[in-house]
Amino acid sequence: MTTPERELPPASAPAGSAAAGALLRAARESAGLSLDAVAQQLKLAPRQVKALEDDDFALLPGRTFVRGFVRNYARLVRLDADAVLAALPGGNADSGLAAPTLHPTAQSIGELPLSQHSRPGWTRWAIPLTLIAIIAAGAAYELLRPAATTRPPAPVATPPREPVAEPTPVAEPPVAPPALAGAVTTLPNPVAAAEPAATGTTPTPGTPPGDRELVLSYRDHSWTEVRDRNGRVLLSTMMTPGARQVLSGQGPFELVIGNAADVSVTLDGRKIDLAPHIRQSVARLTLQ
Amino acid sequence: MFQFLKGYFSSDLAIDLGTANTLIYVRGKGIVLDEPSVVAIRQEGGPNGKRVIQEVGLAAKQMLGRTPGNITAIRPMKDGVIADFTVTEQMLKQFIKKVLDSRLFSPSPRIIICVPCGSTQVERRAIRESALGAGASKVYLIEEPMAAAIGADLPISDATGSMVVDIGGGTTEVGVISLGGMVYAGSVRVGGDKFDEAIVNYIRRNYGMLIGETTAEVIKKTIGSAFPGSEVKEMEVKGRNLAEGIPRSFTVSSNEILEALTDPLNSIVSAVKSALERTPPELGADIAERGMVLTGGGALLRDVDRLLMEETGLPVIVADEPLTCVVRGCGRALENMDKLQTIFTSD
Repeated sequence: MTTPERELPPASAPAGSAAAGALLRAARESAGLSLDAVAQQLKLAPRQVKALEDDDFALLPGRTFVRGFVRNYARLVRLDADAVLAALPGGNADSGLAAPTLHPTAQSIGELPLSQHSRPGWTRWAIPLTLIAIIAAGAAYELLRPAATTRPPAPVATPPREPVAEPTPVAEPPVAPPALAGAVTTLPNPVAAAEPAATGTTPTPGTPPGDRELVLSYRDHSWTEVRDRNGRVLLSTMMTPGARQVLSGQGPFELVIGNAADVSVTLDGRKIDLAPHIRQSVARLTLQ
Repeated sequence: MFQFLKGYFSSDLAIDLGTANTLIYVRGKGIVLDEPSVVAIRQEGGPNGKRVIQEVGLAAKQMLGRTPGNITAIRPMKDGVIADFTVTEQMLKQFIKKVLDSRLFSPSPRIIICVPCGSTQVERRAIRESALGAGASKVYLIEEPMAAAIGADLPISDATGSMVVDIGGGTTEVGVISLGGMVYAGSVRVGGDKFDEAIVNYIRRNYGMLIGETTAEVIKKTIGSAFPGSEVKEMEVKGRNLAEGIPRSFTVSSNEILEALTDPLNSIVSAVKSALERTPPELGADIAERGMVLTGGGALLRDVDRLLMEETGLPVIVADEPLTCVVRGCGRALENMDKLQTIFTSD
């Protein structure tokens, strides 16, 4: 072949020895082989053989392959393969003979959606909006409940009371107008219906007629809430030990008493047993 | 932050648990052990005689075929997989003990171990279990062609096809790799052992002489070739004459060994051809441009690359230091474990 000799890269060849390509070319020419014949023997393309002889490693597939091709070529032209390999430039990056770098194999730049159809835009907000709406509704209900709720009287059967009237030390203003008090007598129990008349005959001084007296005395801290028949809050506070609270209003009373074991309740001078109503130390009951 | 500490305290290992040789690579140190996978077991005398390990590795290999009745030298790996589970585990344990200096607080190492790509789940589990039994804290499995390709410095994580043929002691693995994954993996249970066996059979048939497998291996390494070359080599061999029952010496030539090796070589060639048949065309074009890379001890058989070159018409090259390619690849995977998560096999 009449390929012109190229300038040998001076940096790549060790001092005092020719470059690998030149060695191979010289051996091939002395053996009288053509470039094509060598390519045929090595199963390479003639351009690859030419690149090997020209030390043009950028055209070749990489370090491992170049070394392998050079070894095969050297064996074909009966050169010492190790000597030719030693004449190859080192594995620096610009020689085209660097070892391949290992890229991360698990990197990703995005993620595909799992389902085939992407959801329309508004449904993306539907779930959080629904949650927010539920939370807002709950909060509004909790805030507005005391004003908005009316409770039917719970059917708690109370034993018939003696017409005992205790004078209250604190004269409270009437919690309900007397006009309304007349409507109280529409109770289903005929015994209970008869009684307001009985108590009405001996009204307690300072207590409007039809009102009933509820006395709560405390041996320990207790949170207490009392509502009258209209759902009006008569008492809703934290009571201290030793306190005694006298309330008057129109029954039935609805009571929620915390720490109920240490509270005694008297309705119209009659002691109420809280024990059947206590659940987890809180008593909830309605007094007729 | 703790990665540094972990790297300092634990010495992770990469193991090529091969049929013929076991190689161990320690992170930061390189290949520290290269010994034959042979264990010599001695049966102790007495009524309650135990079986104890006499030797492991090179010393045990020298005993192969030369043992008295109470010692058996066995190769616990066969065809690339575990043939004797307990002995393999003990052998691994001994090898690991050799390479890891015993410190008081030595944490158990993480181990990368390679498996033939044709091995079944049961065989992989056996290899994993035996590594765990030998003291590993965690075991990663990597397929042999992948490890061989990394060890041979092939661009496995690029979008080009690389074909690697790893001719080991028990199996020949053919793999086509692109983008860090195996596109095709094939395995035939033909390797150096089958070559030795073929030589033993050939010599018994043609010369009426019985030789051992160790002698057959020496013949293979000295004058064995895979392609008719220009020069014919000869070698003097000693064996037992079957008719006379007396040891005799005779001479075999490389052409005869070539004839003996025809059958196992043909199965390797057909494995390579079927891999090429099933490779997608784009990757096939890459392979035609670059050629395939031979690794493993079988690549040292003279002219095996010429044989594959003539049979396939593609360039075939032998990797640098083919015997250690797989373990170097395992070691490189060990050093870059965080980068190369996808190359490990799950089971």
